[in-house]
Amino acid sequence: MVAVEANIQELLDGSLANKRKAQEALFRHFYGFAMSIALRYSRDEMDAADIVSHAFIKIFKSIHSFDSTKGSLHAWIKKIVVNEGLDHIKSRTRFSENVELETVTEPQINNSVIEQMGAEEIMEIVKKLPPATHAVFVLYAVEGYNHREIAEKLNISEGTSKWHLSEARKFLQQQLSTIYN
Amino acid sequence: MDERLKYEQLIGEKLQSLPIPDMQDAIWARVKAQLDIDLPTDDNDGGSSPQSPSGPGIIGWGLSVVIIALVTTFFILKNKPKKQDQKNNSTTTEQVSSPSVRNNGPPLPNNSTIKRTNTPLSTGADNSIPVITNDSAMQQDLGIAEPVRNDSMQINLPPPLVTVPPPKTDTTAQVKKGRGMPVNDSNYRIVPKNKN
Repeated sequence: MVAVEANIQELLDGSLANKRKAQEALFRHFYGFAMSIALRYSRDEMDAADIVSHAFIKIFKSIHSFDSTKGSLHAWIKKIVVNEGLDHIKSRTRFSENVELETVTEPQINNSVIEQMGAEEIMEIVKKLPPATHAVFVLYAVEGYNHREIAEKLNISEGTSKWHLSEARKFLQQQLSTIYN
Repeated sequence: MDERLKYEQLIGEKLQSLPIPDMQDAIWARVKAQLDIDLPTDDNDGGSSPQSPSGPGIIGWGLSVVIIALVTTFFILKNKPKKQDQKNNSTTTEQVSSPSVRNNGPPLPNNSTIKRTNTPLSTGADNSIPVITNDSAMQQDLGIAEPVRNDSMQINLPPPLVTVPPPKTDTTAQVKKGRGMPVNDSNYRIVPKNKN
């Protein structure tokens, strides 16, 4: 573990010095991690590849701003990839500000159904969500952000974020019930 | 609403384990291409790949210089014999013309050429005699028994206005034996037709 961290530090130093070999090694080290994040915000692999490539260009261009005392390199890279994924979704859609939601009835979804499904099957259903609702659902259910953080990231109100989450839950319930009934 | 439901946690966990497409090389190529534009690097350990413009550029220039040098050398070598021929011709003319002038006019310094001699010929010809400035033409006009290489010169020669006495052969001048059709005095001699 210590050796891996030392190696990553070496790659960081090399990337700071604009050494292509070090940048390539750092890219390959974090490729799987970054791609798994990008796939959640994209409709297909090509979209995900766009997100990852743009994210790594930003990473190498702003690597001097990374401060290891404020957080891990993983967290820093994740933040950049998520922001790139959100920018990608924003480029495809507008986040409506006219919808607000304060109270909602939670849909009933059988957990055992989800457990039986594979990751790709679930992702296929999530991709069917409208882009803005897709983004809010992934940020909330997968990344673990709360509505205030999502509202800040997407520049929308918390009520709008809640509305999108509610819409996502209803849609998923409908889709899952269609598949297993 | 702010609480993550159990099935959402399950979905979150499942989506963490999505299969990763093998697009590493293609994506890195795009990243590297953009970095080469935005953050150019001088390092040779991967920064200057064979695709980088500096490498082939130097090789290309080097090749161009070598090719140009070879072509230039080829043309120089090809043209060299012609120059030597021309040089031989001029030296021959010089060798032949000097004695002929000596035969027809006052002695000239050794370095003199026919062009410098404005002395009228000994036949007493008036000013109608054309002043010849071309060395080769002069050589022909003076009836020098020198073989002429170019046949066309014989055809284009104007008829001589005066009869030039046959040149005395200068044994000191070494006339190079040329090739082609020899021209002798009878070619230039005007023989009046006998009406009877």
